[in-house]
Amino acid sequence: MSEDKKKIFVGDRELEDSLVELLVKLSVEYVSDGDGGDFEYHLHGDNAASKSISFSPVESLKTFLESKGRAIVNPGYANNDISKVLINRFFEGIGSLDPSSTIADFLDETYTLKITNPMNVGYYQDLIVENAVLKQFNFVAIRNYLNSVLTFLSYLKHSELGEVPFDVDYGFSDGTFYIQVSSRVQNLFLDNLIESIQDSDPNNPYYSALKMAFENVHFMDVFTLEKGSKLCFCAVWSKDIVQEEEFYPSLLVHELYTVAEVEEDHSLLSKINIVKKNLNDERVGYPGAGAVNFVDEQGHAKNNNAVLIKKIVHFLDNARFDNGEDLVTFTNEHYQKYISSYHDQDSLERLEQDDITLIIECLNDGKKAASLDEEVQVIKDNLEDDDYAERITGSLDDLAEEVQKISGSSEEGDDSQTITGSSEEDDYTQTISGGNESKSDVTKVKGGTVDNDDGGKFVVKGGSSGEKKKDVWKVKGMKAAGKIKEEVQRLKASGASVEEINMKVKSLVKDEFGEDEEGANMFFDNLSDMASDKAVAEQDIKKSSIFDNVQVDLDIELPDDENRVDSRKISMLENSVKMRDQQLKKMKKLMDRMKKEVDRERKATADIQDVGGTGVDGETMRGYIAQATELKSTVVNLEKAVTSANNILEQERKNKDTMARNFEREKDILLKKLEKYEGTPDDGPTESIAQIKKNNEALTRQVDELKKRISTVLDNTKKSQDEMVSASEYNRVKNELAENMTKLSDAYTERKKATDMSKSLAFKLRAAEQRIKSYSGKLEKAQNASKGAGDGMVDPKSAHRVKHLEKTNERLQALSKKVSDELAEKKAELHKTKMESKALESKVKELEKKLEKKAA
Amino acid sequence: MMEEKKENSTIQNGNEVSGEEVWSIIFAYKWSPGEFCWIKSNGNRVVLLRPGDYIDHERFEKFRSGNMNLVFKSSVDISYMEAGINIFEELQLAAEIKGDKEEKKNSIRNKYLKWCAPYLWNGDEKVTLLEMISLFTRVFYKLDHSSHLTFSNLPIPLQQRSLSLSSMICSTALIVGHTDFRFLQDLFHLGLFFDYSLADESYSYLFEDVLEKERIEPGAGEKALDEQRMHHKTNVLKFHPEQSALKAEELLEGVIYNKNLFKIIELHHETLEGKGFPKSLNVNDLNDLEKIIVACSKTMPQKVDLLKDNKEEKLIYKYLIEGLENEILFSRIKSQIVSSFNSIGDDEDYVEVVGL
Repeated sequence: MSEDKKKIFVGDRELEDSLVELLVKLSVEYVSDGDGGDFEYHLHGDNAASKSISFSPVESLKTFLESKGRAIVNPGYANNDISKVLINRFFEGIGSLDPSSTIADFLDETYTLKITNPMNVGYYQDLIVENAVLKQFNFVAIRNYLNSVLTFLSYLKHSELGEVPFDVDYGFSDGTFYIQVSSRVQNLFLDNLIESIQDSDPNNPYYSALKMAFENVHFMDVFTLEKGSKLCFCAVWSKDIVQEEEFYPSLLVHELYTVAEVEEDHSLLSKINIVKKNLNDERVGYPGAGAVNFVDEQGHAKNNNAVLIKKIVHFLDNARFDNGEDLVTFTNEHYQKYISSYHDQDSLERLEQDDITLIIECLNDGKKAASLDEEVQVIKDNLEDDDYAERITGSLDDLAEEVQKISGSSEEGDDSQTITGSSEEDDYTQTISGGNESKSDVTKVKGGTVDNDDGGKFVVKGGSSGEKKKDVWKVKGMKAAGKIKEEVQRLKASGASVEEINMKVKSLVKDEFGEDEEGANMFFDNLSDMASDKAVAEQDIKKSSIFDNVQVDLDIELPDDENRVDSRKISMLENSVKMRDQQLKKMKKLMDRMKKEVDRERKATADIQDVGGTGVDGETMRGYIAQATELKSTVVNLEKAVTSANNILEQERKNKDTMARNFEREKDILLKKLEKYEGTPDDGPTESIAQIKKNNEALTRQVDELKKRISTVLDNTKKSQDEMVSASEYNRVKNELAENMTKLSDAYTERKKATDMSKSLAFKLRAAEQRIKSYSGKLEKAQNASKGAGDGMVDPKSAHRVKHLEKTNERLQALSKKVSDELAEKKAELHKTKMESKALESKVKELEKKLEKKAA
Repeated sequence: MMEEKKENSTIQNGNEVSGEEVWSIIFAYKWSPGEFCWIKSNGNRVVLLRPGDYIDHERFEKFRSGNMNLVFKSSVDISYMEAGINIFEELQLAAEIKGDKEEKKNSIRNKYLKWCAPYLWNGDEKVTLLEMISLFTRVFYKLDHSSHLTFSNLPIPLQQRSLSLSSMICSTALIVGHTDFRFLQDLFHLGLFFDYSLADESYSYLFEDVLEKERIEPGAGEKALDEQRMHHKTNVLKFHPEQSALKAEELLEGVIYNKNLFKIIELHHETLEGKGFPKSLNVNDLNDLEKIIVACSKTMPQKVDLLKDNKEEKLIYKYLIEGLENEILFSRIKSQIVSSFNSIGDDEDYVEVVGL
């Protein structure tokens, strides 16, 4: 536990002794300030704002979790050994799928089950419940809990947030029943759990699944593991708890984060298993909406604002055309300039910077604009028929509202619409007040005004402004609204498709517009866009700046609908193409990572070669560097192993203390009872005292046995640590040392050989020199003799001999030099090896000392 | 599978058969359970398939139409194999029935444990990896044409190791309670592609040695590879789990039902101590299925001898209990296996698995 951890208790209630003891043991500082409220805590490295623990029941679990509540602890019922382990884990921010190390010690029998088909869970529930019945636990609560948790996980699987198998571990002792359910998950946020803690709704079992689970446990712990890729539910039932009025279940939630928390602190993303993938179209329909996947297909799925963006692009395109800037590159300045004239300023709030960038790109790049059109078409195509009819009629109402804003009142009987309001001529801009005269309803209509100015009335008849044109077709189109509405309702009742509805609406609009085909198309497009936009906005359940999109299960399909099956096939094909794309992207990513690593290696090699170039042998240097790196990593690994061993030891010690204390406490209680009985012999029969004494003795024996067991466990742990550490890491270093010693002895041998050789060569050299001397003497003598003979000629035989000797001398000298050089080199190498060996020896000694210390 | 009934049920290990019986064996199995020879007109024998070779059925169709005289010398106990195959046929059918299918599936698991116990667990009779491969390939191997071509083109040692590993993983998963046929089939298919990405260019006897070192001591393979390549790291080893998973996902998209299982390929070099790669997961992070994959990958040698000493005793016990003898962290998986064999009951009984 880190010293940085800060834990402040601001509650005013008295905590149970056992809980105080536990908190103290966990190094949790607490302060009572008498202000009331809950327990707040900050964990080390937890950047998010403080989270809270409640020591009293909460009114709404959903609200509590939403407002950063992470635990509800019932102080009176946190005494259970397993609950204590879970509380401990909560504060440590850890979890485990392997309960054998900590939890199994408190259970007499333990079993495990694998559920691979979420549609068939009843059989396994029954197996567990059967044991609960036999051991006289509240089997109904256990069955309800299991049913709820497995339903929740099944829904996650359905939404591809969870996976099979579900691993179920369960066990029991006389007083405690424990169940652990875990599954692999992806894209899971705390929001997914929160959405499942609502009031029960038979049409949406998912919404109340976890609420039901929580209501049926005594103690519950929910957490994720392995960077959020495993979700685990632990639940405890204790026979000590009878459902009294003051009882409420305890809940711990950790290593789970909301979308909002991740937005606040992006580093939390690393604790969530984000997988960007397509939804499987072959899912079987579950009742209700199911779990929401907060992560989209590509990390930035289909743009929710696509329809709106398309409309804005269209508007801006007209606007720049009107201002003669259609050939100029559209920039952010242009955007700012024209967007203020867009009629629906409220909808602009939905746009984000990426959307604005996309708008600008579409205005500069025809291809982008075309792809946006395609995307909008996909959205329209995917709308449900029934909903679409509703939306068309709804959009007609919205359009009517807009027209009302522009016109105040419209007068029929003319192709043009007369708009009432005061006009001020100012550079061809007319200010028109709406019906209610409020400032917000003032609309500026730019463009060439047409005469007929008559007592505050003027007629808009097209012109250079796109907005003005739009006003005309809107007003015109509204005349057909009644008919359209009626027809759409009729078509809806007869079960017509989106396509059929569209065709009918189009023909009605055309009838109304007559020859004005452009106006008819514009009205129809706008109506259809509005309907689609509305649909997409409805899908936008929860927007996140990181994930941009929410996927909602819109298409739970009936298998007998052949048309839909066809579209499903197409969509499956599309998905498969997308999947390929994704795989390629993933592969590319992986290749990039590999490339980087290879580059790094290359760079390192180049560095080594650079160093080698300064005079030291590159290969040797590489060897040294590799050795140094390896040693470094060995030391780091050893340190890690030592820390982890230390933690295990610490944990074992803690367990031992707790167990010993528990037994001591029980022993004290029994002793007190015994004293009571002994002090008042008349109060009870003597058999009871004898019985209690007997029990006490048995208990003392148990305590002793337990102590022995604990010490055995400790010994075993120590042994296993020793085995773990010394058998692998430590031995590796030892082996290396041995290897180096061998190298050293080899070097010594080589040096000896070299020295011997050198000695023998020196000996040979000396002998040769002596021979040369003797030959020189002989030669001199011979020369003198020949001089004496008077002919002055050198004996050719002797001359040749001298030459030969001189050559031999030279060769020997060269050889001697070579050997001396080699010897010097060997000496230098020997020195290096010695140094290395010394360093290694000292490192090993240091590690040995460390290990001894840790073991002690 | 249903039509291929056991006409050859009396064939014992070492028996030699000829005539129609040979053809029925050829077309029933996918990997050869013994040696197939062609008797030429001059009486000479030509070995067509050795034990553990892939049987190319199309090729043998031609031989059959040419009335070639073949003999088969069995290396396995065919009757034992057939009994095992019947159990899996039942398991496959159980997935299709309505009603208490989980109860049915669990009683079939009980039968499988009973089938394994004498040969693979107690060692009353001896079997080899070839028996396991023959059984599991016949039951589960259903790759489509392209993925089959890819697998059959892998180097033979890698193929044989993958088949052995897959069979061991599937068997262990069923023993500890994974009773869904399609789930087991997916596991089998995925197990064949754990080292798929290595087959491209790098797999050689030298690389086999590297993998073997890595299996025995995490990190040792990487070091050996380093030395082999004069300290020029290529990261082939380090990245192969992820690469294989990606490539397998692409190749087996239409074959694997449980799409999320592709991830298990990434885990086969993890260790329970957290020393493996690529994610350095540890005992707390891995679920039971993942631990089984790690355990089997750890104990299955890189170079398998399908007919080691002709016969091996109690294969499952040897690999998963003796092979993990000093591994305290695997105790959970070991106790699940042991308790399953210890709790074998009557046919309809549920076999409890001790968990914690």
